Parts: sequence; C-alpha cells; structure tokens
Amino acid sequence: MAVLLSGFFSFAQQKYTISGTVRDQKSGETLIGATVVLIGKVTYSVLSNAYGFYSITAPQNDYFLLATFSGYQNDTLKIQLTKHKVQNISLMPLPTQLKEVIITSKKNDITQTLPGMQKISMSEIKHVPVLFGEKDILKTIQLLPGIKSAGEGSSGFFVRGGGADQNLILLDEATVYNASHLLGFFSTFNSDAIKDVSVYKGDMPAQYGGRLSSLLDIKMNDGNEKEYKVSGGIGLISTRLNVEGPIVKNKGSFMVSARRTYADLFLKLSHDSDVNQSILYFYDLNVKANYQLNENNRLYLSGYFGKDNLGYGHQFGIDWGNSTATLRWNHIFNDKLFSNTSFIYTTYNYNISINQTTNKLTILSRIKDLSVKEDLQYFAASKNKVNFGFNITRHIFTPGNFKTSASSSYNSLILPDKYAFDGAAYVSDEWNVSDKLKLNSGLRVSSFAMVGPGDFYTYDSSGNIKNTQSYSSGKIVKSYLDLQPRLAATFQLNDFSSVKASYSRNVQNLHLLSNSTGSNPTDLWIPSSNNVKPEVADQVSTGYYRKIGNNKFEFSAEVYYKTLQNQIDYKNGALLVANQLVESQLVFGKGRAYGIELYFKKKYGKLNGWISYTLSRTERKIDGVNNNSWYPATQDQTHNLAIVAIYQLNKKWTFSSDFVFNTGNAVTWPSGKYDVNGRTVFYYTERNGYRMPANHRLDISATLEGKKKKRKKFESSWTFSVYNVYGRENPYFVQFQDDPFNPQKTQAVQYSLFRWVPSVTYNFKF
Amino acid sequence: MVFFIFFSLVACKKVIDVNLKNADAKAVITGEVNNLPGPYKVTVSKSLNFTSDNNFPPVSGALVTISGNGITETLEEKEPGNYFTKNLIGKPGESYTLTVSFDGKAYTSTSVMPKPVHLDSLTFLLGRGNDIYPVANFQDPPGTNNYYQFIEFVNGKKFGNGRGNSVFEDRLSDGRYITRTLYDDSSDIKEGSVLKVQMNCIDKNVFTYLNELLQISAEGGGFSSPAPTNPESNISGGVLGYFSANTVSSKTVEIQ
Repeated sequence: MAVLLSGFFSFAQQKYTISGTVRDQKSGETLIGATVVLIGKVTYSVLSNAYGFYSITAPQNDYFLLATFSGYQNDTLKIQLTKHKVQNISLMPLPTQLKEVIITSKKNDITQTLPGMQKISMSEIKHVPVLFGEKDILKTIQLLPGIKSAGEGSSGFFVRGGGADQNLILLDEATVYNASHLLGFFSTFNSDAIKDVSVYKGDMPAQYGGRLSSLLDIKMNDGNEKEYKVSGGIGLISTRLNVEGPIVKNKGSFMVSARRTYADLFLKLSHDSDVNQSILYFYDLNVKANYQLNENNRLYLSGYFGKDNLGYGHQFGIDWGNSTATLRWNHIFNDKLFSNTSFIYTTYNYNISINQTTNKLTILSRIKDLSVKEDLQYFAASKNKVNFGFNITRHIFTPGNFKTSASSSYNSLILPDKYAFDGAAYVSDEWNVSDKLKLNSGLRVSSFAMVGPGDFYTYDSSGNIKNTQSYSSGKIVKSYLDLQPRLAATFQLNDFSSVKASYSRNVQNLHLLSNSTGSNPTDLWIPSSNNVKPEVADQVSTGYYRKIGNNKFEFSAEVYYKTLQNQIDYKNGALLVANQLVESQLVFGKGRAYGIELYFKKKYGKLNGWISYTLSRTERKIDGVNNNSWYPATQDQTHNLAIVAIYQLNKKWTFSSDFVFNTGNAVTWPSGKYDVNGRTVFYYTERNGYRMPANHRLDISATLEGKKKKRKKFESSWTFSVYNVYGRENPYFVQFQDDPFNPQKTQAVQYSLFRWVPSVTYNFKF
Repeated sequence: MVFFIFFSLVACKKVIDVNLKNADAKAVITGEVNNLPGPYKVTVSKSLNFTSDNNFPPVSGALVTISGNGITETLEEKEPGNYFTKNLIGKPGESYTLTVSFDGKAYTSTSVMPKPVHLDSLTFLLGRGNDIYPVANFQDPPGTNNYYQFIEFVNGKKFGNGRGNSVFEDRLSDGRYITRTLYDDSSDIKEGSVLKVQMNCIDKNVFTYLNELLQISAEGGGFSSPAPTNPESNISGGVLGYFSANTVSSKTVEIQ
C-alpha cells in the first residue's frame, strides 16, 4: 500500500519549466548552442537554440543551473524550481589572450547528436591564414575533413563527393546563390559580421533541405546592445568597417558591416589605356537591426547586399551579386514553445555589357525568391524536444534577357521567365532515451511545382522538340512530392567516448548548369521540371568520437556512403547559353560517394589546432558519357590532408600556419593524337581517366597585438601572412599542345596560379 | 575573357611529364568539296601515340569515291594518303557523299553544300598592344540556319597548327548584318602583311564537328571548358575526322 502511494506521489510530482535566453554579458549578443545544464539528483541538459533560447522541464526540486559556452566563463546559479521560471543567463567572455583548459564535468559536456556536423569558432577563422590575408569562412571550412576546395583560390567547395551546387548556404536563413567574389578568390562573408558557423555534411536536421550534400548555416551578429563599437581593418587588397551599437540600450541593437576591395587601384598604374580604365572590385554590405518588443517578442531585420564588378576598358563589363533581406519575428508562446516566423527575399543576378564599335549587347539574368518560413520548437518534456514547421518559396527565374543595338550582330532575345513553388513541412524529435542513448528522428515532406505561364517542351533522344504544351499563369506543369526521412542515434559508450549512426535522404530541386571545370558567375540555375527530375541523395554514416586528456583533445573517425540519383551532365558540345531549349542539352545518371574522415583537434592551450584527413572516392555513371560506365567525378580526390596550428606565444604575438595536401582531381587527358587540316588534335578514350598532379602548400601568418592602453578603448593589431611559403607551383590546369620549339613533338604544359603571396592587414577596434 | 586577362597576369607555366596511355591507332579521314573549281582533296591517315613525333602515317591504297549530282568519281592518290578529284565541280544546294574503304571496312559521309553567302569586306580591329584582329563583314540570310567557318591566311600561308580557324552560327543573329571579329592568335598579323580571310558556308553537322574540335583545342581548352571528348564526326563507321561540302568566299587585304 505504501509502495503504491509513494508510486502515485512520484507520478504526480509537479514538473516545472525553467527557460530563458543566453547572452553575452558585455554586448548582449545571444549565444547559439550554449550548454545549459540543470544539476540535481538527475541532470538535464539542453543547448540554446539559434536565438539563444533554452527550456528545461524538471520535477520540483533544488538544482544548480550551469551554463557554459566556448570562449566564456561558466556561470552557476542556485535554483529552487517551485514554479515555472524565466531565468535569462549572461555569460562573461574570456579575455582573448587567455586560453586555459576549461574543466567541465564530463557528464555535462553534451555531444551533438548529428554525426557529420561541425562548428568552427569565429576566433579560429580569424587566426587561420588565407590567400590575400582575408579571413574567410569558406576557405577555412575547406580545412575540415570531408570538405574539399573546388580549386586554388576558389570559394566553391565539395562535400563528401557532391557537386559545388549541392551546398545549401544560408545567411540568417536567406539562401545565398553565389557565395564567391571575383571568380572565387574571396567569399561573400565578411567575418566581422558573423557570429556562428555550422557545417552539416549531409545529415541536416529536417528543418532544412533543398540541397543534397551539405548545409552551411551562417548567423550574423545582432549588434552590441550596450555600447557603440567600431572595428575594421585595412589590408593590401580590401578594407572593412564594422559599426554596431544599441538602438535602445538593452532593448535593441544594430550592426552595419561593409567591405570593399581596391584591387583595381593597381590596374590604374598600367600604361595600357585598356587596362588602366578597367575596373575590378567587389563590395559587401551586411546590415542588421533587432528590437525586443517585450519579454516574449523580438523582431529582427537583416540584409546583405554584395556585388562584383569587372570591366575591361570600355569594351566589356560584367557585374553580379546577391541581395537578401530577412524579417524575423521571435515569439515565445510559453516557456516550452518557441516560434520563429521569417519573411525572406533573395535575389541573385548578373549583368553583362559588351560595348564594341561593331557590337553592342547587354545581357541580364536573375533569380528572385520570396519565402515564408515558420519554425516552432516545443521543449516537450525533459527528454524531448520537438521541432516542426513549414516553409514556402516562390521562385522566379529570368534565364536571360539579351538586348542588342540595331547595328549589332546579334538579335535581341528575351528568354521567357520560369516560375516555381517550393514548399516543405517537417517534424523532428530529439529524444534523450536514456543517459546513454539519444535519438534524432525527423521527416521532411517537400513539394516542388513548376508552374506556368509559358510553353513547355519534351524532347526526343536527339534533342529535338517532340511536343510543346502551353500553360496559363499558375497552372502546374509538373510537381514532385518527396519524403525525406532523417534519422540519427548517439550512444554514449562512457564518459569520454560515443558512437553515432545516421541515415538521411535529401532532395534538390534547383540545379546549377555549369559546363566548365571552374565555376562562373554566369552559370545557370534551373528548376526541376517535366524534363529534369529532382536530384536525390541517400547517405548513411557512422562514427566514433572520443575526448582525450580531460577534454583537451578531441578525436573522431567517420565513415559514410552516399548514393545520388538524377545527376546532371551535358551532351557533347552542349549549348547552355541563350538557349530556350537548354533542357535538351542535358543527360542524366547516378552517382555514389564513400569515404572515411579522421579528425584530431587540440582545443586548449598555447598551441592548438587540428589535423584532418579524408580518404574517399566519388563516381558518376551518366547515360551517354564514358560508354555508360562508372567514372570518377572531377572532384574525386583520393587523399585530402589539412594540418592547422595556432600558437599563442605571448600577449602580443600569435603565429599560425596551415599545411594542405591533396591528390589531384580526376581529369580527361588524351591517349593519342592525330592530324586534321594541319592541326594536331588529341584523341580521348575515357572520361576522367587520369589524375592531375598532387597539390600541396604551406601558409603562415603572424598577428601582433598592439599595446592596449589602460582605460582607453582603442585596440589594434597587425597581421602578416604569406600564402604558399615554399612557392609550390600547384597545378591549376594542364594544356596539351605542340612544342613551340619543336613542332614535331607534343607536350603537356601545367599552369599554376599563386606562389608566395604576402599580405599585410591592419585591424582596429574601439 | 576578362578572367583570362587577369589570369595571364599572374600564371606561371612549365612543361611536365605525363604518363599517357597508348590507344590503338584510329583512322582519320578529312575531306572537302567546295564551289571553287577542283581538284578537291580527301586525306586518310592514322593516329599516333602522344610521345611519337608528329609524322602521322598516311593510309595508302584506299578506295575513295565522291558522288553528287548524279555522278560518282573515284579519287586518285597523287601523294601518300592524299586523294584528289579530277572532273568533279561542286555546286551549292547539291548533296555529296564520300565513301572510303580500306582494311575491309567502309566509311561514308554525306554533306549538303549550302547556298553561298558573300563575304562583303574585311576590316580591322586594333587590340591591346600591337594586336590586329580581322573583322569579317557580311549579311546573314534571314529565315535559314546558316553556319560559317573562317580561315585566315597571312602572306599566302595558313597559320601554324590550325590556328586562325573559327566557326560561327546564326542561332542568335538570324538576318542581321554581321561584323564578326576573329579573335584568334593574331601574332602573325603585322603591318605590311597580306591577310586573306576565307569564309566557308558549311552544313550543320560540319559546324558541330568544327565547333567541338575548337573547344578541345589548345586555345579553347584548359580551364573553364567542359571535359574534352572527341568531336562528333559526320563520317559513319567509328572514324575520326569530317567531310564537308561548303561554299567559299574570300577577301584579301594588305594591312597598312
């Protein structure tokens, strides 16, 4: 009887919720992914969400609330949980010079459930030396396992053998279509404005979708809520300026961050009138404002505007850029239910103007997206967190408007706009089954519809029009409904090691047509249609994770296998430019990729850094290519090694270096030669049957912190770096030709880009 | 194009050793029939390994015939691997069929000679430094698909190694008066040179072949190009090369 009563008692024991927002005490910035732990007889832990919000439900009792976040001092509070409680948390940032080992109780250190997910801290990005001395998120993530560079200096990247267009890049929830400036040498992300960077290598939460291979989720700073701050830097290639401050102290803040290159100033030094009238610049502008309406409501408005401009004399000019604007509303329904509603406008366009005496021509191409997103997080019970929501996007594609003058050799041509609706609904659950087992399960249901107005064609096998059908505005031409399950499990073997396994399916309905090995700003995005099916990827992965030496070191080994369907390639001599029937130029097939990724990281101490190594393979089998047999994809690089070391000598000097090595890309080279009308022509037998020579280089950099005057706010530092210290001629591409000195012989000539590129940047903050 | 300029400012290059496979020798057939008085030539040769000297072995003793306008003529091998017509005169609008037989295999190709388009004049565009680019001026006939091939000659000779060759189609220019600048390696074109530009009107299959050929050639290839494949030949039977029936219109100018 007493046992029954006590059973009833504990069953009926009241549970209360403690919730709140985790912020930086000095600036008021919300902290994403901070660990909040409620320690009592039983321990409950949770990570703060993308807006710093956390919620824990636990039985009535006394607890300690511990909050930790990398780079900040821990905060501990005594909590008496006798009713529902709002407890906001402010963490004090550690001085940047001190990098001590932070001792956390081993139980309290939560591991991310999802394998294949990695975070890079902004301080790591600030210290890794990069080409031209510009701190660059996209170049730094290429040093992680499983992520490969698309080429020297390129911001494009391949994740686990996927294509460069298979990465979903989000900046404050808005999609960025072209994340690179100046043909890839710089990324569009000004690291001064960025708060958080997370990379998901295929296993993204059900909340996200639309690209097969990865999610790069970038969140901008909100802006200092307490005081005005200005920071910036002046470098050899570009200058940046960041201004932030409160709108209303402790209630709202703004941030404006701008960056511009002046590489074209060097062109003005040329004597050649075509060169000194040429322009070559890009700029980025990140703006953000937020306002806390009341305890439960907060509004954010953020925008990104970036543009590249290249021009050669008066004759030729091209500019391209992304613009995004996002309006978000955080609403806390109650201590368990958090909502974020977003309205997003994104556009990517390019303009070309050709202005020769014999030919005047302008070309415009554009994508415009308008989206609505609703994301809800329900912190159900102490062991369950449910995410659910939906989003709808309307896409408008303007493939190309060509306007010519009367004397031009070209006719004006306006390719008809294409319209599509892209929607998804999702539900996912994070379930702490037990102390040792955590399960993430989710389902994303996506629907994609191509709609009229317009004429839509089907083609025969030779690429000629078989059938034309007209659709009126809004009528559905073709729609696709896809189910995308996401499953992941983490099992804690003991206090310091765990294993994870996962399966996910991703579907992609936007495809980038790029008929070249490099990527161009003029590459064309097309939607899925009656001729182009959605691309599908299924990935399974498993991994082993271990913390060594009291959390000073971290080791992980992950294995993955991915199959890809409906991959796109091009017919021989495909015409992708100004072609209304561009879909007739495409061929389709499948792909597969597999590999093992090893990662070892030293997190604390004077010397820290990481080593990453990937051994992998990625292949394609496309109808009509390579005799319909499997061939290595261009981005197949067998070995990929990166070693990053950051050494803090003293309060003044920090040195860092990185070393990279990778096997060359797969490439199509000749297996013979013949003569046509006096020209030596090379004979090809298979696709990608050869390898470029291996690529390796060492970069170093040194940062000198200026004297910090007492009670003066001004801080400054100098950064010196050298890219490619030993000047290796890394192959950019290889060309075959007759030997100019001995036309009887043919030779292979390798072109390389950068050897020994030094740079200097002056940084300031006040 | 702008990228190429930027690139040429910073790139280093060096010759490297590559270990290329040696594919079996393939037959190569090239031939042309045009509306100038003959003789017309068909060349039959074989491919070589990459490391060999460029002495492409001719194929002798092949049976080479061209038929068109109701007549079939067997070509005579006057030099090793080069077969010439005697009486055949090419006429625009006619369809010509080439047949080549040797080693027990037969290869055929058909090409239709388009209606002629007249090259009105040759002007010049001055580029960077001392670059002089020829400009072809002509009227594209409206309402038909027209394909053109341009060949440049300096002081009576073709440029070395197939340079000075380009193709153009009127897909985006139908009916326009065309001023086509021939951007090609113009290092041979200097003041005082005598420049001749020959404009051939070719059929669609020949355009496809030559366009793909130029894409994989040294000038067009390399970075920012699609993965190379063998150009689609309009000769059946699995042979390399092409056969073209085309019209010819030329202009010659001395550069001052």
